[in-house]
Amino acid sequence: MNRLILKYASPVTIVILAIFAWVIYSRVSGGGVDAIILLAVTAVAVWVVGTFVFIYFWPRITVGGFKRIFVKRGLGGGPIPVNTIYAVPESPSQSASAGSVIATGTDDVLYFGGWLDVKAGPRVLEVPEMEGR
Amino acid sequence: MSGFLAWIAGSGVVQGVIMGLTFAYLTTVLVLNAVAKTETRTVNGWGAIRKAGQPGNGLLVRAALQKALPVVNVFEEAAYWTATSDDAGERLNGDHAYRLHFAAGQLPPTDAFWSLTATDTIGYKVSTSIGRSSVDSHSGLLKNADESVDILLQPHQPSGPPQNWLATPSGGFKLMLRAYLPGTAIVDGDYEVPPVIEVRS
Repeated sequence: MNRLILKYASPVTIVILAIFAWVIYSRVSGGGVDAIILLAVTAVAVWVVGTFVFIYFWPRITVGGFKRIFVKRGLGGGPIPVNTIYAVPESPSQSASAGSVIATGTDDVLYFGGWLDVKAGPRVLEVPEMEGR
Repeated sequence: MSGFLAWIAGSGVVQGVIMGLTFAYLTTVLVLNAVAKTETRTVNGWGAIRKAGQPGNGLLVRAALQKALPVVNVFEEAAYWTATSDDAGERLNGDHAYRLHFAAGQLPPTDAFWSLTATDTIGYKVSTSIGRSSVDSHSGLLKNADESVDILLQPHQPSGPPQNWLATPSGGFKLMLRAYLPGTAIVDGDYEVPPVIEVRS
């Protein structure tokens, strides 16, 4: 899905805009320009306010998306409970077709992921000895 | 109440909200992409964003870089460069062969390792004829007589040393160079990745 949206962003956008144009056209042909005044005013107001809201909340929305993916779907081994770090046992490349969030196109690194919540106080992460691995 | 709902439905307000939100989203994407582009420093066709994750970023830069490189490491931890075109400005394509020539001692300086990958134009790994789609600091690259290093980027195995070969996918592709714990020369911006040069046979 992720991949399809990335790949076909332009055609999808064009189809949506064409539908909008058709809506406007059918309204105008039915009742003249008066029939779209309220629509246009609403659209412009939502457009202006919405742009600021989207930009302001963009980091929060996308990080929230990562949280949802970690906690609900996981990174291949099922949902990852909060305050747990999951180490993906293999290169994420194999899951590229499945649209994994960490399909970063490299098999040179391993990925770890999890959602940490320190509301209740600090947490300690103990990292095993990794020298020579 | 039902009269009001019918008026709302017929008035175009709902359609206006849908259109406004769509336009707002598209504007956001265009604005954030434009800001990310101004934050990208491109040298020899290799673009790098250095400011991701820095606390001083304003609202706009913060959002733009989160869009360009979601949950990325800070540059001092991991430096990334991407290239989609060769030194002549032509889009990289698996129909052509390319060479990346690192002058003596000019492989990326790191305290960990570096890695060069070829992916599809979105960034997904693609299958190649040798099953490996990267060349890295552990590849045992062979040096030329003058200590320089050539990495060959082409779909089929070259006549030269196979470890210096990065198999490229068919069609358009993208290169990504990662340097983990980049050295001072990278962090300071002195280091330059050499251009990708098309090899004409």
